[in-house]
Amino acid sequence: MSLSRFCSLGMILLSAAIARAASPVTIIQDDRVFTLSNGLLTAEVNKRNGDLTSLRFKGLEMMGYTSGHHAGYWEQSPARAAHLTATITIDPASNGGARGEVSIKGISDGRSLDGGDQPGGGMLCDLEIRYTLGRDDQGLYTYAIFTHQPAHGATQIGESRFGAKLNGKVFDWMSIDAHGRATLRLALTGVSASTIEVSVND
Amino acid sequence: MTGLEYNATINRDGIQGSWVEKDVAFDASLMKEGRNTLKLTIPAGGLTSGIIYDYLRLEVDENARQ
Repeated sequence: MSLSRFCSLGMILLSAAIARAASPVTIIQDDRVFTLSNGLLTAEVNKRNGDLTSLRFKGLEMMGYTSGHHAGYWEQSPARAAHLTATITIDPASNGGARGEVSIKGISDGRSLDGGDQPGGGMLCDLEIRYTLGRDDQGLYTYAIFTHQPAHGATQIGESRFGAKLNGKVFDWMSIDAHGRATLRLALTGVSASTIEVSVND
Repeated sequence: MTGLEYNATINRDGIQGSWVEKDVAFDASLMKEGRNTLKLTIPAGGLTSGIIYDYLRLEVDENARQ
C-alpha cells in the first residue's frame, strides 16, 4: 500500500532584532479559534478553515483585512471536508511552555475538498494545516500536509502557497538610505510578450 | 527587460503556467519619500500578447550597501 504525502512549509518571521521574551507558550481555545501566545506574539487560528485570522506582535496587529481573502491563509482549505477535527498536537502544558502546536485536519473520505481559492478547483485528498510557536520564537511556523489515500481516485493540486495580507498601516515604508540599488522582482507564469519596459517615477 | 521565453499560458494552457523570476535592478535614488510609481509597459501587439505575473516584489540589494 502506498500513500502519497506532500508537505509544504511556511514561516511568518518578524523582527530578528527584538529582545527575546521568556514567557512560556500558552494555547487557549473557544468554539471558533485557537489562540497561541508566547508573550511577544499572539496568533489566532480559525478552527474551521485553518486561516491565521490574527497575528499580533507586542499587541500590534500585523494582518490586513482590506481585500480578497483576509489575513493569513493557505490556498487550500479543509473547511468542507467530510470529517473535520481541530486539535492541539503539542500541548505547551506538557513541555513547560517550550512549544505549542495546533492542527486543523480535514478528511476527504473519498469526496473532493472544496477548491476554495485553489487554482483548478477541488482536490481529492486529506488536508491538515498546522501552526506552531516556540517560547523564544519571533515568528510563527505553519505547514500543510496533503495526503492522497491510495483507494481514492486521481487528483491534482495546481499549486499551494501560504499568503498573508499585511496591515498597510504598519507595513507602509521601505528604507533605502543606506543602499544604492533596489531590485524589482517579477514572478511570471505566463509570457507571450518579447519585452517589458520598467520605469520608476517616470 | 528582455530575454523573455514564450509560453502558451495566456492563449492556450490556462492554469499550467511555467514559473520564472526576473529581476530588474535600478538606482534606489530614483525613488523618493512618499508615493512612488513603478510602471510596467508591454509593447503593443495582439490580443494575447502580454504577461501573467504572480507577484511583484521590491527590495533593497544588500550586496550593494554603500
